Amino acid sequence: VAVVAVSPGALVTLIFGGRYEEVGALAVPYVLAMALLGVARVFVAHACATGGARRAVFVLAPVAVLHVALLVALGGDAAGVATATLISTTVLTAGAAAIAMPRPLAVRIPREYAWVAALALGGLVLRLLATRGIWLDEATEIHQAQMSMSGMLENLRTIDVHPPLHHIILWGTVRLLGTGEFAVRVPSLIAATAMIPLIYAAARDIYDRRAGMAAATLASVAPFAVWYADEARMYALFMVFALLALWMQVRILRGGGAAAWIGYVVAAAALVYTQYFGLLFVGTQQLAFAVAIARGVVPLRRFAAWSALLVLLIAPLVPFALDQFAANESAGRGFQQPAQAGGSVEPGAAPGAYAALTNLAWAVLGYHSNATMTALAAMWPLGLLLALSLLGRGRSWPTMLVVACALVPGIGLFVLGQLKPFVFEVRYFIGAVPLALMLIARAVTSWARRPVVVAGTCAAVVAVMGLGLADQQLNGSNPRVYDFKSAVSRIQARAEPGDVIAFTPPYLDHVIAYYEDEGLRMRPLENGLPEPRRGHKLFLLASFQDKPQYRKATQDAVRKLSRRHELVRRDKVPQILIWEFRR
Amino acid sequence: MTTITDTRLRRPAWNAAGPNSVRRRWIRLLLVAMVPLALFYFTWLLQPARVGNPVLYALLVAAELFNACQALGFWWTCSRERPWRRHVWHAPPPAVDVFIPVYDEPVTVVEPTVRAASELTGAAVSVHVLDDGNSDEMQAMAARTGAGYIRRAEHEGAKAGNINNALAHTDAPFVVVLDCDHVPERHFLEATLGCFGDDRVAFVQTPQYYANWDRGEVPAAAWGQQALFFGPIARGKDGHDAMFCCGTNVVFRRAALVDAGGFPIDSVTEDFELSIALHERGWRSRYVPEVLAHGLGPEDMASYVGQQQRWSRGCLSALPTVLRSALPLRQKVQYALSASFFLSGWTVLVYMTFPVVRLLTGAQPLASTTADQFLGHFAPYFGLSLLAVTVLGAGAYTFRAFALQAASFWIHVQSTILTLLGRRGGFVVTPKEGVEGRQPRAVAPALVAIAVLTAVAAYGLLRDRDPATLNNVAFASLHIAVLLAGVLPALRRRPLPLAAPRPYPVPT
Repeated sequence: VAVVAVSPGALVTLIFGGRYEEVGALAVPYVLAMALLGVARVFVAHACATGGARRAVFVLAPVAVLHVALLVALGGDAAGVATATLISTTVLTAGAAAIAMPRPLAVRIPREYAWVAALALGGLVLRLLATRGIWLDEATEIHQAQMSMSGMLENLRTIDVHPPLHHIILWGTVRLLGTGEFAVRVPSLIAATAMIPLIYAAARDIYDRRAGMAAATLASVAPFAVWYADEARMYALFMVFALLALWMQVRILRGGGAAAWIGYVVAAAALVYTQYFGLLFVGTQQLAFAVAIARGVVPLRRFAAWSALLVLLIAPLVPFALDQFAANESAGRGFQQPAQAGGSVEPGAAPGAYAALTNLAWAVLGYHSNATMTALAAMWPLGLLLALSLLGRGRSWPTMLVVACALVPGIGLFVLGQLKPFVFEVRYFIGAVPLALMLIARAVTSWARRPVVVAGTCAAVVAVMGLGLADQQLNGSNPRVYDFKSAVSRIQARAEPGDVIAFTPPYLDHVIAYYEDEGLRMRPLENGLPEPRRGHKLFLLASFQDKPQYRKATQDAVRKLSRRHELVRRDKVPQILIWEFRR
Repeated sequence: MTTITDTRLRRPAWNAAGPNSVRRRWIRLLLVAMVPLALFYFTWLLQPARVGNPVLYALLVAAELFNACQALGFWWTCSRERPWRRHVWHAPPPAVDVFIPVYDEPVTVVEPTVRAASELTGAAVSVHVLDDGNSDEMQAMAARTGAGYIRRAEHEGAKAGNINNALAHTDAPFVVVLDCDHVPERHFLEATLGCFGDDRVAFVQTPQYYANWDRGEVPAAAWGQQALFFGPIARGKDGHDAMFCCGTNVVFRRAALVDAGGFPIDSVTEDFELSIALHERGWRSRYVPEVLAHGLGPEDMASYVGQQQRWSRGCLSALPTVLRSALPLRQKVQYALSASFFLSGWTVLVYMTFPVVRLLTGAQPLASTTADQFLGHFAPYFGLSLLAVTVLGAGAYTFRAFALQAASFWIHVQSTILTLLGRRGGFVVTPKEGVEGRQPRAVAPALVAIAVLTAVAAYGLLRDRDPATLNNVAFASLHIAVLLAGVLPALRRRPLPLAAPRPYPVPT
């Protein structure tokens, strides 16, 4: 591996010829993967020779499943195959080493932890399989992450509305792994997968073992956790930090020491650096601390000391946020809705009960087509049943704390949403999602006494969430799925040098630029209709047709182009329309 | 250490005392917040534009107003809760007669009660077994335990007549009435007699605790209902000077009983009507929020239904008495709230009717409204109402209790009709031991309702799957789920124990 790493490109060219030069960068991970495979083979052989063949099967089988899943998810190109192979062989070597070690050295893993590991692995596979193209916000952030660090922060400070933590992580990721779809989503993938063991640990600590196992099971299939594992944005981190902050707070209120306080302060600060709306979550926790202080559960002085540290950590963000606010205000935007929201409840309308129901359905069952959401919303009387079933329940203080942290930020944004409707959307209080999963797990495991009923209910909830996940990922009518990747790919398949792409809305520029790699000319419709050279083509790409201004711009452009050019073809991918004109 | 299996000898798993003053203040704040939410909902509901089908709309408004009155009454009652402190009896220990009316209960149930009553401290106690079952075995038990034994030649007036008969054969200034399954704590009288320091106090009521609450779903649900009553409601009624006698675990001043002419024998809820009579005469009542006797609640569905039929018949037939009474307004409203509670089954019937009518005919009570509007006005009122019940009931009133109550809607309907027809109900003693086996007849009307709702929902889904249909199917499903949860215990061959049945250690 070390020899290859000296100059992989030159080595590949020397051995295989110039034809393979472009995959030279993959030589190191591939050789490393093969080396690991060799080591794993030795471990497995040793295990078989010493009576551990059965254990070896238990390692090999899931790794084989993982590898197939990774190939399906990432194997679109050579880099993906290399990445998949490296991940699989690493897991295989670790597993094989564990079973081959001499007894005194072997770590005895309790069955419970093995289950959680299996759930995490299953969750990882699901998250890898559930892929989709890059979304507008992701493309913008990838674009920002390719700037210099100071340039990116300046860009954030002057035209963006987000705190910088995820951008900084992505900045590092891009430099380490590149800008491929999979690479930029690695931080989210790690966070959303880590949420499975984390929620297990939290629910086990706050409630009991059964609640922990159920919570981990639910988190592995939870549509929202899967969705945001596959998005190079901050929402997966938001969920993890919120869960961690809550767990640490419970530990503090149970008399936890410095470790719990450090965990809480770091998680809470990270939450605010991830999303400004994390302040609502942290604020709710501070209110809970105030109650605890009033009841003498937490000493005021200790709270004051650790809170001072939290304030110190958050303080550097304040001038940054103020600059963002001032810059956006002066540009006439304020903290307005990022243009690329997509699939909102009722654009522009103040949120009401229906919006609350929709957000609840999203949080638990994921994103769905409008028809499905209408049907789900019509079933609201079942919410009354849920409310009735809560009669007399939830009076333990940990549950009250979990409920408060899940609800209060949402209620706060609901109220704020009366002024700025766009803010009442579950991704802005996505910290509620893992807490909701934990509460569901607690309900499922504690409301019934008989193990059969508990297992049956848990299976039913997992099945419902699984259905939600399948519909979210596979239903082409999901208004959150914007398939820019396919759209640009189809254009590129038919385009020739000198052809032009016109698009609307104008903020599609980053995402089109992300996928467009053949040097086609691109121009937003709002800058005027481009004129291709004679014999060349003009591709019109239009999205967000639910917004009147973009629909009108598209219709006008199609009318004009139809008059002057030959309409060769019309195409459609989820949420995107394509026209192909030839001059 | 030895072990016993009689649940009545365990320590109580419930505290009847109210919250501390800080928490009480918060609860009052919550209750105050409920009023504007209720007004917000009703001002929206009562607008003429909301009228859909006029008949259905009228039914909806009537049901909603009735429930709102009950809810407001509940909040008003609970808001008057006052801090409790035990009163001490300063005079020499008085003589007290303890009456234990018996009909056909097993000796094994009665004997612990008699023995515990004989050991009451704080007074010169004479225990009397009032046997309306003419049981020689019971007589032998009374002799064995040193208790008095009173048997009647004629059994007129059921329990009320039995007690009146015993009053004529005894003379202590205070009288305790204990149902034969209610094992009193030794300090029962020490905790209650102090209240009689006020000469105007006619009786002191204590909670009717179901010690067998964890012996199955029926006793658990029935206890949930009891706990709400003997918790915040009874404490609040005490604050309104309107606590009524509940027939057991109660201490009377003999002079008051004599003044009222004894227990009325023409009612199946003689305790309720006696309380009205006493309050009308200016006597006062007190409630001691402390578990001082451990009884047995209905253990099977037939027992529960029998108990509820008796209570609802009695209270509904007492409603005219309440309205005609010369009670102060506050007490009159309190009694009216308690008696009219047994009309609430009608509202369940009305709510169940709406999805059926909508799915079959398309008619609905509300017009010109969206789910968004309805929920926007209704959800806060509904949600906080449930929260108030949870907070006030300290978690004792559960979904199981609610479901059992909802599934018993037909009892209220039946009782209303029988009361209006002037049919007299007989006094039926609630069985003290559950019967194993399914009891579908005890829940037959609820099963019919489930069948109708299921059939109509299926018909609706087969015909159409538009949002309006789905919405009404969801409403039907809500009712089906609640009714099923209520009737399920009656459909099991064996009661489902809620806790592992194990003997309870007691010190020897």
